[in-house]
Amino acid sequence: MATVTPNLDLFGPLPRRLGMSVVLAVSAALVLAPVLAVIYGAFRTRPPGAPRAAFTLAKMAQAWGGIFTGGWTQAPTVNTILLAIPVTIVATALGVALAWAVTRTDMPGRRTLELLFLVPLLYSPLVSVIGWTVLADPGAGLLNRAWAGVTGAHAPLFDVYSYGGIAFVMVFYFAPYAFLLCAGAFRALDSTLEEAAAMSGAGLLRRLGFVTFPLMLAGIGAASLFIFTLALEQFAIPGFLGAHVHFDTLAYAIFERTSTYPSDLPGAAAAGTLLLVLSSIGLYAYRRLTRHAGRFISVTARGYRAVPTALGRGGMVLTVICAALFAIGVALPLAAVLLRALLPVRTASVDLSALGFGNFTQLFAAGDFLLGLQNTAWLAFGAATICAGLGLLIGSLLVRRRSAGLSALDYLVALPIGIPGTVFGVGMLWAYVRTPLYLTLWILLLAFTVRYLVYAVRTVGGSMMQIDPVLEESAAIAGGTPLRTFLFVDLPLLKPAIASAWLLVFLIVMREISASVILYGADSVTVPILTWNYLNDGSYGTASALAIVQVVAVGLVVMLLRWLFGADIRARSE
Amino acid sequence: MPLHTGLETSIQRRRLLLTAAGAAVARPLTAARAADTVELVTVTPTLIDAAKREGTVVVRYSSPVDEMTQMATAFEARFGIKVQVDRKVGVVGTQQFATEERVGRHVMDVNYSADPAGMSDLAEEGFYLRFTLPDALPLLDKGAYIPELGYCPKWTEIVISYNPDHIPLAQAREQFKTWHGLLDPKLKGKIGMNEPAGGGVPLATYLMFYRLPQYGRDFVAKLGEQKPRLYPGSAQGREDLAAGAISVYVPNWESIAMITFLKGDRTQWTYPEIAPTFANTYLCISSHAPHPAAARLFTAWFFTPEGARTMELAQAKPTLQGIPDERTAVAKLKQTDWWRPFPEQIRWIPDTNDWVKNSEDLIPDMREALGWQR
Repeated sequence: MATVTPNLDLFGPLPRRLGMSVVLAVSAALVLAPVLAVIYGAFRTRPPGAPRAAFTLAKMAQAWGGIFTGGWTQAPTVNTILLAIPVTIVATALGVALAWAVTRTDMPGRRTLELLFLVPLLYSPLVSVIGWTVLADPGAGLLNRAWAGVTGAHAPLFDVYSYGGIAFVMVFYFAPYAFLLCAGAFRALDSTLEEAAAMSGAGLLRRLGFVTFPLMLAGIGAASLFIFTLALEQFAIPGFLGAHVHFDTLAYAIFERTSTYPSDLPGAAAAGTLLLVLSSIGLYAYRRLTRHAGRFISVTARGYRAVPTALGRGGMVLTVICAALFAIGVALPLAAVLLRALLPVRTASVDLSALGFGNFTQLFAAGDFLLGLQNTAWLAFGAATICAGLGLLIGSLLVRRRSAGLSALDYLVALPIGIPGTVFGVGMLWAYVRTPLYLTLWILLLAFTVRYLVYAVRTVGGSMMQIDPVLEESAAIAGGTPLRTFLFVDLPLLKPAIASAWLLVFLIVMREISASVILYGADSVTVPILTWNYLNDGSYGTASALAIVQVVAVGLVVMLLRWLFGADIRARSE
Repeated sequence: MPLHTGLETSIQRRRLLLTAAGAAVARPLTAARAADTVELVTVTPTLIDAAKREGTVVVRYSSPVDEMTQMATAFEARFGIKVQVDRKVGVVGTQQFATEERVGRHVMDVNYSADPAGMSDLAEEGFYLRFTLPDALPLLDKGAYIPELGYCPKWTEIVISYNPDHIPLAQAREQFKTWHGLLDPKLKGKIGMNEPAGGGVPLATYLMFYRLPQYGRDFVAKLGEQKPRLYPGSAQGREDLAAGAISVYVPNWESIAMITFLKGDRTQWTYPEIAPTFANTYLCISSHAPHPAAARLFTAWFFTPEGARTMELAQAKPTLQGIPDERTAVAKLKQTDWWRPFPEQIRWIPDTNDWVKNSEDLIPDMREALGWQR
């Protein structure tokens, strides 16, 4: 196995050092501003700037000590861990398995399924909540009513207001992230190693266990970390569904402290540091997992091909399983949301004569609908492009170079995602309220870039680990400058990962609500904010209509992206 | 207290010291305030001219989206002044305004806020204008405003909503003559309720239970024993009631119930022997409003007959007395066999001082009584 050697001197030693220093300094400043504001706020008796605010350790003691002494953070912290770990494991396993099926096999219908599996990324978790409530409310859910009608049973088939129900909804909501993150890496995997294993007599499961998945460990680790942090900070799904069973998570408890009277922003900030530590543990585990980057190299100088595994009749079985998973986890709740969008009010039974487009008409007539759509598109394109660019630079540096500064940068870019979105929003508010950025689209762009840069860094870094440095060394020996090597060797190989990173950030920003709700102004309203307002207002029908419009609009963008990058992706797999 | 640029001197002349007459309604919440001047805000040609020159008013609000859209559109059409609306519900709006003001960043003109306790805190820091509406005040019930600080243009009237497929009309009327009807063992697990910190509507209702001897904390605890679905917000409860997931939903808000009725919702509501009627959202003016004249005009306009009638288009019931009820929903409801107008004699108006001073301590206790362990 080749060793990792430094070879990213794009502009020569001095410019490189200067460039790196600038990247480090700017990233540090942007990331640290809201994070430090949150940490500072956690040590104040009242919010920063408030009269009679003083230094105190009490809030931190309540948040941290409370875990062990029955304080307000105890049950939510335990619940958060009990929810986040199994959801991460199951969602990652599901996403990785689906990604493998779609990218590494000759399963019939794989291209269609690949698109369909991404559908949950197109809508907000609140939409999942609406869909599953309509379907699986223990008393009035359509599935449960149908079940009772068929079997006469009094007990519901599926109770969405339960620990299992919440976990189920989260698994199907998060699995597409693992799918998206791992699909690119699976495509970049050279089939030669699997073929060699097959020629040595290894069966499919053995090849998967000892060749394919070990090579994918970096990508799987990145996906797990990603889902773990998302599960930690997710407040909408457990918040809405857990209310009836008193199942409270830390993110929701923190959200409540920022949004209900009497508010306690310093307490919320102190509890935010708890989540920061939990997610840092995840990051540490990921770094331990990937500390020997050479283990994950699969794209080498010996040539590169990705040949799908022939499944024979098993391919059709796999297609049926994948289609069933899609139907249960995605199509059903989305159909329920569509139904709700077509109904003026939710009713006990579905009256087809009541269906209509009133909610859509109301939505299109709203003055801020177009503004919201335009702002959201601008923010998503902007943040995705900046994050993909910075992710390429930082991700490449992190893999090809090992230094204290870069390690610090690695941890630094991951900090903002460890803080719950609402607390991060408050930190941004405290940090930038004096600047001209405040209440403009620019502060949202900055917030999203700072918060989601880590995903681009991990996605690109994960793929970079798979590329043998020997390729770059060969280019150098052939007279290529570092810049030419990067542009003509690394960049083409990283293109799917960059596209994945771009798409990932784009999709997250399209649905971001928790920080936006604090930072948006009259002219910077976004689609998720409109959805949030409609839901708070009780206009579930209009919110559902907006969700359907969003799914269609974002779906078109994904199709466009696939059309732009698809040729490259297909060439690799064929 | 100085007025800001753009206001005519004639407006300044209207500022005066309120003496004994004003003090009768003003004292409790304003004692801690440093300044002792109260501005009189009325709609005059001079104010309109000044507001038009400013051209814009920035409004943060907690009220329903449709209602504010209706009001903003009508105001723009009437005066040609752009209304920039920014929905920040309750505490979130209060915090944002506080953060801005504390660093001298003046963005918001008017806060249409559902957080009276937070409003009072910020008034003590001098962030809200001390003002009164001399033209409207004689036509406003005392419970419709926090003197010199916030004025509520619409009533929030609390009702008991039920699903007629589960509880027939006659039974509902009989059973819910008092709130004790909710303790019927047959309703165990079939009641939806808002949790106490879920906004002004639930807080007013729980406050009523706590303050009335025939109910008290024990009644709230017994409600908790009914294992109700507890919602953080009201929207989910209305959805669940319409879908038949629960049989009863309390506390519902009649004007919102009317909006869903107009959309085709079949759920009905009834009135117990006493029910909160209160001011849920207050119009407050920033002391440092960037558009001071427009802020004053926007606020005062809500309390004109024209503003009140516009509010009725959103099915809200104006607090301004003497406005005939011309709401579309009321006209349609009159054609049903189950609806009756909200009986005036059952109104229980919460004491805003009690609310502001005690809610911080009461909310945790109410949650505990209900068994809300979040």
